[in-house]
Amino acid sequence: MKRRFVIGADSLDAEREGKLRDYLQKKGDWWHWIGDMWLLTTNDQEITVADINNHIVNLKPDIRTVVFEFPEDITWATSGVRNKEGSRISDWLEGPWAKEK
Amino acid sequence: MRKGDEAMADFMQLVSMLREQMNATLSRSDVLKPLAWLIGILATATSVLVFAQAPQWLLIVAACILVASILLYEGAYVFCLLKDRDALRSEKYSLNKLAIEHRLIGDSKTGLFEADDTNKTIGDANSTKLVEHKP
Repeated sequence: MKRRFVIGADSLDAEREGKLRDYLQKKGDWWHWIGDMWLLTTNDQEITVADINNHIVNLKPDIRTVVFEFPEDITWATSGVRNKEGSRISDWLEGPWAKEK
Repeated sequence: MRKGDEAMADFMQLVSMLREQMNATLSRSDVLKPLAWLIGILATATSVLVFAQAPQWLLIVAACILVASILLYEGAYVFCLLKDRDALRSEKYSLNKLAIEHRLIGDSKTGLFEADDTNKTIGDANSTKLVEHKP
């Protein structure tokens, strides 16, 4: 069963953002189209919100961070211009984040 | 009289150096700027005391305060160098750096791209329209 996490991590620099991205990449699919907000979907049944939180704190001990786990199918709405390749902010939400069929 | 001319020349040279230092620090507002000003003022005051042939004890006191300020400046510089290098740079630089570093966004499907790398001419005029999902 796919699990879904919403992560807020305040003001990470480029190096730490890269490390967080690498960590999330190993766990599953990630999304980071908005500032300090990250989404993660993973099939890892062992990982907890505390694990993710602790990893972020290890990157930057004085950081303000919050991690939520969300249920399978939730209501969402989004807006934003496409990137240069024409991808939309909602593409990933309609893909990896979406409810499994 | 010759001694006075030499002292005046030294004083003018010092003023010139201080002016260069002040110009160098005008464009940046880092944590060491107040200390640099203090050193500048103390150096000027000490020079004036030398020029005015003040009592020796007063010159020694002024020189000691000046040396202490310089040591404090050097200590603060080394501390910032080891603990927080960005503190040595201007606030404007730090804000620009933060803005540049936060420009990479994306996802595992699309990949990474710069936050400014959005093109409103792609697609239709509704490219920013609301996309909504309900279970």
